[in-house]
Amino acid sequence: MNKNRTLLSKILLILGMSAVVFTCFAIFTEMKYDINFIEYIRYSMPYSEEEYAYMRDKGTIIYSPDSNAPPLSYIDKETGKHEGLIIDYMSSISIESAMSVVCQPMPWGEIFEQLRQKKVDTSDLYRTKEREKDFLFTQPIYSMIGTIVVTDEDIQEKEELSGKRIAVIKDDFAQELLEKENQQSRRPKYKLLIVKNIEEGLKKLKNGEVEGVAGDEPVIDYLLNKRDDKGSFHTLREPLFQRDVTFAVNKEETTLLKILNKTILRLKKKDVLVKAQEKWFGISSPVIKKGTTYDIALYLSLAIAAAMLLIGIWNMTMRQKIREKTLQLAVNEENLHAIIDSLYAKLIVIDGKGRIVECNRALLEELNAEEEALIGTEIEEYPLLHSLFHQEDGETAQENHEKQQVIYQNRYFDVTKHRLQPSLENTLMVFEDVTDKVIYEQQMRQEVKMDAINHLSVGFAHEVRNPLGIIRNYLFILRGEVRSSVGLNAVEAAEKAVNRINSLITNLLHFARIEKDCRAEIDLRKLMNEILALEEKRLREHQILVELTGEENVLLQSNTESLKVIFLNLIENSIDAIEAKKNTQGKIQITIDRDGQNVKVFLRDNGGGIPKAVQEQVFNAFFTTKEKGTGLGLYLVQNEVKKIGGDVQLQSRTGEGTTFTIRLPEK
Amino acid sequence: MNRKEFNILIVDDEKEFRQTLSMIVEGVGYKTMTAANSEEALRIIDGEDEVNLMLTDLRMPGMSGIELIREARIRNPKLEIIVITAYGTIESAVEAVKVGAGSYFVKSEDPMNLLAD
Repeated sequence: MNKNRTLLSKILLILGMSAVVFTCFAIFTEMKYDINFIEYIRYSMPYSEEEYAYMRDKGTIIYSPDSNAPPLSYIDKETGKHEGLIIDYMSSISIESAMSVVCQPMPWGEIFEQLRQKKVDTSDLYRTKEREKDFLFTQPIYSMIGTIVVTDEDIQEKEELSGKRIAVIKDDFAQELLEKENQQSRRPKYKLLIVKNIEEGLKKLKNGEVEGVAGDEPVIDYLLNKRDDKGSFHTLREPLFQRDVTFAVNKEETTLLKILNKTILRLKKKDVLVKAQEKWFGISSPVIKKGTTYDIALYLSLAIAAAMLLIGIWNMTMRQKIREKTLQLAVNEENLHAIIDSLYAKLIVIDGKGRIVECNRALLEELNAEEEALIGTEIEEYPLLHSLFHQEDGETAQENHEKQQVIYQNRYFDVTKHRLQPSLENTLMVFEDVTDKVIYEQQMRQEVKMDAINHLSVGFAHEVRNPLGIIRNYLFILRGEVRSSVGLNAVEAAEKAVNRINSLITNLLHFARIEKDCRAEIDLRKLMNEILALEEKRLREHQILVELTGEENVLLQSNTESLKVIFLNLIENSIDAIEAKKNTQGKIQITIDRDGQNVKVFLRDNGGGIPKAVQEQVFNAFFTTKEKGTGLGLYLVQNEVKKIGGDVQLQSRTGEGTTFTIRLPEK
Repeated sequence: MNRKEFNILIVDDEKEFRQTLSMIVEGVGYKTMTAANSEEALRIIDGEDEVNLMLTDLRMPGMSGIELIREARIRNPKLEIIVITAYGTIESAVEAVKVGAGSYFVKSEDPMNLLAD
């Protein structure tokens, strides 16, 4: 759509400019050569084959001018030569074309007849409607002014010669014109006296035989200039006529007409007439229209047209470029917005007064706000923004390209701030919630630590247990040997100490042995039975009843080791709790239940229970209420449950027992 | 069966442990033999006196306890075996049971537990 409009305006501009250029050129040709643009083009063509053929066949054309019209055409009385401006012009015609020109001067009346009979090929005539019936006319050669010359100083207008005698040449255009005027009025206006030539007319005027002489102005001027008494003559204010002089040819001579037209234009272009005129009249001339001003006008208008065209094209190109640039800017801006909006990091621009200037989508999502509502509001209204922006004891935001970590409501944020050009009033703050990353990093650190502990624990356990086993064995032997109560007490105390070390090592090994991720399909009930089998000795010792109920064939995709640690520790805990309570029939109930995608295991004992005050702490590492406890059991349980994607909760009443609820994902 | 005729073979690379355990077991009336490694243990099993029960460590230089159990079971399918280990880990216990051990005993536990079995 836009493109089409651009193309259309381009075409219109070019057409408009062409029209301007064309018009200028047409005006120029009209003014300078008296022909229209089309004729100018046509006549500027070289001679055609046909025309050359015509010229070759013809060889010579016969031209008949007026025999007595100096300085245009006349016979020099002294030399007897036929001379004049038009004669010179004809020689130029002869040179320019491929034909010789023979001049046969004769009176006007005869010229018409000779032309009709093709005895004469051409003559310079005024073009009139009547003459067009008989002849063909070329383009104008020059413009001729007709005038009336008088001696009476009072006569200034033609009308003042009414009823007076006027000398005219026979068949001259002046005669034709004045006679027409006579015919048009009721009775003849002027008394026309026919003379042979202007010179004779001037003599008669001087002698008082006539009151005026009508004829071609250049001829009259030329003849007057030759006289000593030219001051006593003057021409009327208004010219009698102004006509274009053209070459007339016989109606059948169309080819000759074409040749003459082309030749005339060539001579016009060479300013031949101007040069001939300078020869015959000096610089000022009434014969031809001066072309210089037209040239200037032409060049000026051409220059203007060209300039306009260039400006137009330049303007159009500029507009096109601006359009492209604008479009590109818009696209760039859109892209930039898209990029900024696609960032996970939150971007916000805050002005010097703490108001929000701009933000990206991530920030809007973080604040759960609409852009319209957010822009312009103060950041104080948003506690998160406020605390990130004014860190370090509410100090005003400083430019800070360095990343800073800020904790807000248990969330970690990386924050950077940049002062924005040019005012430096606005600050860009970029922040990102890195809580997950921080936790992950902590876990990684934890795992590295655990790995080290694992290695240490396994080595330590082995190294300690061997000598511990030896101590244990010796104590056993000693018990059989010692008889004194002091000795027996000592052995018992030493055995207790060995027991403590032993259980500490056991837990340490539980802690250590967990393989990283060995997932397998596990039949939970079967696993539970295996674990109970491991604890069978203790259960029997304390006569504890175990009830395993609930779903059969519960299969889990999980980590066997984790599950073993979880349930072994929980069952041992229950046994410990029952043991501590004493005087009760101990009972452990284990129920396996399905719950959607999860499996829930309830592990209930009727032991001593956990006091409410410490319930929250029991999962912490190294927290224990037991005399011999290591404080790692429940910590391990919770750790492992989390590792396989589940959770563990406890309900307990002192004196009644404890229920652990373990939720485990099936996969 | 008469405890005197019940032969117990104790295999452990730790000399003191081997000897003290032997003392304890003999203290309750059993007859014991000791071996410091698997190779020695196998020679005793192959020897004239029939071994009824073998108590063996798992981690020993040379042939491991697990291999010893496997080998001993082949030579004497009736042989009862109890594993004594310093690790006390479930894996090692399970592994031992798989190859034929009847029970396991963690070093530094009360020897009464062992005797109870």
